[in-house]
Amino acid sequence: MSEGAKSADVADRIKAEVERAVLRGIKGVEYLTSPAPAVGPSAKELLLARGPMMLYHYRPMVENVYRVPLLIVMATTNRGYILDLAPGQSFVEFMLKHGYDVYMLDWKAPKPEEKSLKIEDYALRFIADALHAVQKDSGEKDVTLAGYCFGGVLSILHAAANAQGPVKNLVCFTTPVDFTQLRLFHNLSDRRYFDVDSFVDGLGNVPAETIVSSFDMLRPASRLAGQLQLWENIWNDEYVKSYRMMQRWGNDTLPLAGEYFRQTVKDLFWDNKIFEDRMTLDGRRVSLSAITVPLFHAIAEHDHIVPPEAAKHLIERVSSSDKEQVMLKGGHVSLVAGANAIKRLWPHLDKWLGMRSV
Amino acid sequence: MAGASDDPLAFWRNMVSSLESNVNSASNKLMEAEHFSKTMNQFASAATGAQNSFNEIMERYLSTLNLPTASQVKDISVRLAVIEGQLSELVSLLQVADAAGQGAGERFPRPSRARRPDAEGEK
Repeated sequence: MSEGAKSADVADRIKAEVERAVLRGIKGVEYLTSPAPAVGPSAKELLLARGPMMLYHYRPMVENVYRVPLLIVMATTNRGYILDLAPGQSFVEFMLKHGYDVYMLDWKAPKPEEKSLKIEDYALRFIADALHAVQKDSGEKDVTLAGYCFGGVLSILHAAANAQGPVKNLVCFTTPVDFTQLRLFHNLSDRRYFDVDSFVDGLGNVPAETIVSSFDMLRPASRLAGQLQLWENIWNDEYVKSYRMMQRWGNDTLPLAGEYFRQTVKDLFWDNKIFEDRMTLDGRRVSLSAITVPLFHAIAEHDHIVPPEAAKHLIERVSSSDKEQVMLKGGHVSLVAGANAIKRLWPHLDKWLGMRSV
Repeated sequence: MAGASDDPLAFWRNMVSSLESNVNSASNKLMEAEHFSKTMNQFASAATGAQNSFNEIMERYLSTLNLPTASQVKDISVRLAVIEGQLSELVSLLQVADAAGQGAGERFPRPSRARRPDAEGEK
């Protein structure tokens, strides 16, 4: 490049940066005064509401869908709209457009009197109720069960305890099995120092703030770095929209039922019972080896919440002959939502699930 | 096109990125240490104990004055939010039931369920 052209290019860059600086001022005011963007835009109807569970059915987007409906089970700490953020950025919309009949089991905050809900209630009863409602609504006996994060844990426990069905396919997104590998959470809940009984007995349900703080501790500098990056990109409407949607979701964390939390700490973090094949629900042993249905498990290479070391054992523990585990680039959230997921996970899952949904 | 060296904000971007990465990495190492767990839980336990004692004293004091405590006001607020949520669920369920009654069981249009993986042209 000639010296003249280079100087002109630098001048253009400086001009662009000055324009962005002006826009930052204008957009910054807009940011502070405008409401957060709407999320969860796909049309849906509430099919069933009981306790903290809400079962939604999304409006089909094609005239001819796959025979087997898809039931997504959300993580109990987070809202399901992460999978339906905005048109063009929605996993739900993608699956609807690719011919799936989509249902979602989403959660809301447990009430104070629901503090005694246990893992059994979520994995055995709520998921069973949702599956039954999906069967009734769709008229189909078979259902694909797909769980994200702890929704995946509940899904594998349900499938293991109900080998007779109706789960036809099992899909898991970043689902932990070896809880000792969730290092910070494991260390924070160290049985020598963490008195979970006093904690739960004193609080009832575990507040959302406690859960948000523990997630923030995993990446203590990321919130500040995110805000600095926002300032740099505040001239860019699309960036700001995405940032606000993700920030809203991150802060919209749910409290956990006290007993559910106590059981998670004792059975999973302390005794690692799923990994060590000693898990019991309602007094019955639940072993991952009882799972024989086709399994697809997606793990994120840079997942700081559920690292691959915690999730990778699922595939070897089930007895399914038809199983696939993929390790994709991305983090805990970018695995399932955002630009990376659109290119990587979604088409991969569609290819795998389509032929198993007829 | 300008190279990275011509980008006036490249230094800023790199600094933010490496700051985030270094602080997160150092914090994670610190948090994996046993003493972190011990200290953190001792602190949390002491803070919870102190908070509970303080709450008890305040509760007695406010009860004497016949005034509600902050936690009671918060409980009422949570209750109201739950009631609002239940009302909106009821409205939604009623709408579903109403639509089912009017449309002979059809709410959303019921698609056929014969799709094959190679089906095309339905987007």
